[in-house]
Amino acid sequence: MSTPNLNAGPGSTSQTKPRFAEDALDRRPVRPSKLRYNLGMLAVGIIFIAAVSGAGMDFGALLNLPASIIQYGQLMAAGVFQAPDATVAGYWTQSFDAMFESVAIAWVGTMVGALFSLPLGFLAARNMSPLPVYIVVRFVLSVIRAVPEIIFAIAIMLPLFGFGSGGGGALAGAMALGVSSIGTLSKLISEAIEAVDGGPLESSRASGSNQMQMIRWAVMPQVMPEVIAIWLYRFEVNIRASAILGVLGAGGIGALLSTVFGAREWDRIGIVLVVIIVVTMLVDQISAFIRHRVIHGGDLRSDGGEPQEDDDDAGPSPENDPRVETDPAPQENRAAAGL
Amino acid sequence: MVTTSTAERRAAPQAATVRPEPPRPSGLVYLGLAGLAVLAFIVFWVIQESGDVLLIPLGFVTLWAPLNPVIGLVVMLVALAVCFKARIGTMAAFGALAFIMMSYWAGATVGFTLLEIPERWSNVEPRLMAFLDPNWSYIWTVRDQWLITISMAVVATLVGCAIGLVLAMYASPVSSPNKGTSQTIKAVNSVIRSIPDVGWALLFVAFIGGTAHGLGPMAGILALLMFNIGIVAKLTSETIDAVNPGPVEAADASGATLTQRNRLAILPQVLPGFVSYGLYVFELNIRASAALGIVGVGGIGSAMMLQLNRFQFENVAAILIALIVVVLLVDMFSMYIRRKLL
Amino acid sequence: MITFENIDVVYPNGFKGLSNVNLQINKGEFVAIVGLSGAGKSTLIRTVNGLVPFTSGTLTVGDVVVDPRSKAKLRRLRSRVGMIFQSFNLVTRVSVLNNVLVGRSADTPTWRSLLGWYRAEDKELAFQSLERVGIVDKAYMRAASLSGGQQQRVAIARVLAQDPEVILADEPVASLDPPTAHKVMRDLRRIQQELGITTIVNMHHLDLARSYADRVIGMRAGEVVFDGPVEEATDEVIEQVYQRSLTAEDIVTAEATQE
Ligand SMILES: Nc1ncnc2c1ncn2[C@@H]1O[C@H](COP(=O)(O)OP(=O)(O)OP(=O)(O)O)[C@@H](O)[C@H]1O
Ligand SMILES: [Mg+2]
Repeated sequence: MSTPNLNAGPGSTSQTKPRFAEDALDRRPVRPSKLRYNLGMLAVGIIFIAAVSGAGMDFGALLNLPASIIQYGQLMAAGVFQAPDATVAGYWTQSFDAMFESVAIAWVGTMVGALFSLPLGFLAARNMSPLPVYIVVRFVLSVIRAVPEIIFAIAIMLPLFGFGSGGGGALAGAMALGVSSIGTLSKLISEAIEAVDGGPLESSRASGSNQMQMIRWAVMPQVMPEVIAIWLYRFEVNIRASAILGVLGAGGIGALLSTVFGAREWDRIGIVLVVIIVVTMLVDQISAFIRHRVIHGGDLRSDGGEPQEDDDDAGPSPENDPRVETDPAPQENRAAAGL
Repeated sequence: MVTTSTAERRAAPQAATVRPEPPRPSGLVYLGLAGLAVLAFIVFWVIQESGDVLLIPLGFVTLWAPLNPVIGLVVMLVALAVCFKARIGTMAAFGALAFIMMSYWAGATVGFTLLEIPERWSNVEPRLMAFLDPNWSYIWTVRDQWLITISMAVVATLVGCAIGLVLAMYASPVSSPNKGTSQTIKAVNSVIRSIPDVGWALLFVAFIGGTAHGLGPMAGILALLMFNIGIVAKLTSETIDAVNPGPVEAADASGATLTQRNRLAILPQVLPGFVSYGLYVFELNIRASAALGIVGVGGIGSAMMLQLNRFQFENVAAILIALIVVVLLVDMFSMYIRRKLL
Repeated sequence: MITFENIDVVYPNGFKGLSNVNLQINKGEFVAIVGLSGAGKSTLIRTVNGLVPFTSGTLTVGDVVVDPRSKAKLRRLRSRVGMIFQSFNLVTRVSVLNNVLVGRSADTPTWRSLLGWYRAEDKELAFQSLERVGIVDKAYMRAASLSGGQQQRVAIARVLAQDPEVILADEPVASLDPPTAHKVMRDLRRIQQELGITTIVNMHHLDLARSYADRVIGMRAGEVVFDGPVEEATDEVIEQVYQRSLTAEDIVTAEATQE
């Protein structure tokens, strides 16, 4: 197959025949053991089976599920689509009022959390605060994160502010959400602060500014868009979280939910669910729009410094080797989960 | 503009050295924003519930105005003035105004006040005292409930992640067969996500029966499942949106089917993110399944509600503290796994 | 044999990527495509396997008439046409062997791909491909831990695992340093010689094209403006293609070294 003047590039005379004896590089490598991987999978499987039996589930219940979904689904749909006479219109306004109360609870809760989270975020950022402070603040934050909202509500806020919709209940719910938001908000903000570009920090330190000036002019412009995005995420999470507090007596949509479910009034249940879905999706859309605006520029916060283009260039990390992939889960995503 | 140095004064006549004025936001728009603030003031006045009144003596006549809305108006106008002074863009000023209005509305709706704390503090004290003195011996008696809670969390996490992954593959335009599918799945998923976990729990308890019928865990697992599917599908599909398209194209170029290319080129890229979402969801589930006990889905939450209704705060405190410890342990465990795997 | 008859490509945004391309590339030929950035080299190469659908004309690869609308037919075509990319496009998190096995997708049932249980003969083929490019010892390493040149060889092995009749390479050495670029080009050339695979390579560097190709195709603004054996692709002709005089950047400076 070799042509007389094979154009095979400089320094390529006899490529087809190996010129050296075979060595280790030419031998196929032994297959690495997959024992650990297989054991891990086996463990997950065993845990799953143990959990299935441990939970004591009754699979017979699943058989009836489709039937009851259809049955009750029809009842709910009938409730949603029935002609809105005075009583039904009353159901709708009652649902919207309750849902808006939930939004208000979530907003106040997020504000309370946000208020504390910014200073605590700075104290919990390794590049901003001394080691002892850092350790103590981090520990306190992780304890706060471990406590579910309902515990704050039951133990402190409900007795402090009272129960019921419209009365003290809503405030109690908001405060419980606020306190439990502090943990995650501060943690996410501290991570954002730790990821700031060190260049502006260095230059402002070099030009003799003190800690406060450095924070104001070198750190805040960089992190503020991300911080606002984190607050908004938490607002979305808090709307959902406020529901469970409502069931406990903290007002909002949760209180209404437990009332209508308690009475098994399926038409009202349908209405409440539709209202929840509509309002939540609307708030999510608005919040996502603002978040996008804040992070990717636009007029909003035009003085907020360069928005971070990409999550990948999150500061100098030891594994900035282009061949090594960093965690592909974008930071924004982790915040989205409202960790 | 005052120039100070002689050098600058000499340079002043030349057009090239005229200093640029900082951009000035449109005063007209700011005026409109102020009008919006006044409008909001009127609305606040109409919807306000408290009767606190501010009296403004002007000498010849005494004006009165509702206290809280006036405070709101003043705050709004001051904020606008500050924004204008700082030459902040109109969009940002509108954002600030909207923020204040939203906060005012929310505060008024929940009846925000901290003034009642001192007099009501006596309500809290017995509970807090109970928390400092939990009934440790009680914890052991509810071990079965703990087992159920953790089992529910495990099952819901594993099944929810599996379903969430499949949904995510169909939801992201990168991996779905066509645009229509991805739009549909995304819409369905945002409906699933918008119903809170307690809503799902109430629904499933109503559908198949709760603790009273011995069906609590099943309803709880189904509720957690929906909750997890929503989160995992959303986060994973956003991760898929951001994968490196190169390997995907390479798989396409070698004639792989859609499923093959999703498995071979996309899954390995999103796996680390997916695993950490799974661990995160597991943590959420432990907390949520404790909370969902209050609507009758079994597990430790039911035990806690029982003790709460009997005003046995020492027992509640023991459960709560154990819950905190369990969540911290799960947190440490998932951190360990994450470091090991990624 | 690949035949382009009056091929036009219009991108969805209305941009005309190729206009009236007529070409005939014979079996076993090694063709280099040169042209300035934006000339349409990638577009031309991607029309061959349907990654970019052409909008009018007739394209045949072997005895198959390419139909960019039929997904199933495209898949069958793509299984016989391998492609190599400038940025290697490996899944960096998985092993080299699994990357090579991606090339077997078209002949592997979907359930096998899902579980990752490949047939023994597929694995054998993957190993042989790795042996051909000389990095079989890295088979179980993560692709991320390989150097750029090694990654590109894995990509070549992935293509070889397809057992292709045609290899398309879109600037395969543009992100490699000169000695490595020569090594990879030599590999490609040797494989083309040994297996008689039609090979079409996009090039930025003239001297690489001159050193390895049988035939040079020059492109400008979506049109083929030169087509001839490598001996005819003199500096003057290429300056005509580029519409500017050649500069030092058009050649890879360092000399290739013997391994
Ligand atoms: N998906 C697309 N949509 C619209 N226009 C495109 C698209 N891809 C390429 N083009 C345009 O087609 C023209 C040719 O692009 P092509 O990628 O083929 O150039 P090239 O010769 O490969 O350049 P380079 O050497 O830089 O890779 C360019 O002007 C480019 O802007
Ligand atoms: Mg190109």
